[in-house]
Amino acid sequence: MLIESFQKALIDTVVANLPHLQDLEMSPADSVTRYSPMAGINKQEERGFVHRRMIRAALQYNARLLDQHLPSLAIRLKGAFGSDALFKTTWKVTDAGNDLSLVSVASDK
Amino acid sequence: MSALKTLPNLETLKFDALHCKIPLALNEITGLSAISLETDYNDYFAGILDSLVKMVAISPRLTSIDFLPGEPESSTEMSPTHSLHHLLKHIPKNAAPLLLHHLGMDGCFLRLDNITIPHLKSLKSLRLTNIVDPSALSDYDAKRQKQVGASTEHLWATLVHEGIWLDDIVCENVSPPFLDYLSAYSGLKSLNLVPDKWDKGSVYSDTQAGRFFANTGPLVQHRGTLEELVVRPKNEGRWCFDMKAPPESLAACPRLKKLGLGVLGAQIKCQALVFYGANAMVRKSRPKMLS
Repeated sequence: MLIESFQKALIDTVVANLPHLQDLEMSPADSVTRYSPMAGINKQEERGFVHRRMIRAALQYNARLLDQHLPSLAIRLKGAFGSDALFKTTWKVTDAGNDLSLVSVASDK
Repeated sequence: MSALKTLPNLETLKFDALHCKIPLALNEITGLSAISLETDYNDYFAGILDSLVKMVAISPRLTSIDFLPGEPESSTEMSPTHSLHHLLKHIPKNAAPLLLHHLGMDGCFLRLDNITIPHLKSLKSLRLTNIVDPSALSDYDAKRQKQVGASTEHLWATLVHEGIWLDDIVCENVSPPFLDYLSAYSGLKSLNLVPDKWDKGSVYSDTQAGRFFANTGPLVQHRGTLEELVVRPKNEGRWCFDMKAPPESLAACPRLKKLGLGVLGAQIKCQALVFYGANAMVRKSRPKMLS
């Protein structure tokens, strides 16, 4: 099963040492770089927008892989998604219009 | 509203009064032990606030208050009525202080002094968001705001001085006094942070993060009890999980049931994009990105 450095580090150094962990939440920061008056607000916002789109996709990918390795753990993505997205044993993703719908699996527990 | 006051056993009331277009006569309800009021600024706000203040004054059993009027559009124009001082002002001087276990405030002034502290001696849960520091107001006359508000740094230092030790904290903007507070005791069960909401720069933020996650730092102080830790940094930096230098202190908190971490985009981005580009099956099932 594919596992990569980010997930491996997270599992090996943190999750594996937390026997009671039930819920892992990952959130992207609003921006890579802090606001700089020199850069200008428009440029900063543009960078932030692109950053958030990319991180959002990357986080979904990482959550999917983590979920395969940690089936008993609820993996929650927060912050850039507009609302909570909860992942657990069964990963289900549906597209509804322009919105992303991630099936809540809290009832699976 | 009229029906509520006829419920003799009503103890907890949670009002989401956003966009509320009717007056709320909260002062007609007695016997509550917990009140939560979320509202916004509209024509009825002053009346709603007034009824809340009067209700607090006739509710000696109150142990939990959430007052969430939200972030003001302009803190310079924010009235001193958005404060714990104002909420408590009608409590008779000869009455016993409240035994508040929980206090939540959003978009308010908060100052701990001889008027407010007596009601907070039993406090175990504190949720503070968008607390306005009047000393930062540029308004030339913020005298009234300064009487009811202070910095959060002042708040944490006062809690240490008063020996008020919390089980549950929701707060923003980690500062040295906050870390001093965490270092002064053990027993914290839940900590929810937006550590760098007010940007003081990466050096300042990273310094606080380094101290928080240090092997002998404030986090480890609570390793025996901490069950929930959620850190949502606004900016990338040392508050985020770094796979190249993961903080050992996280693994030292074995009771954790919920863990929330910020991520460093560069550490997850490249591998994901490469994978998406190379694997058609995954691409096919890739969730549509929100715009």
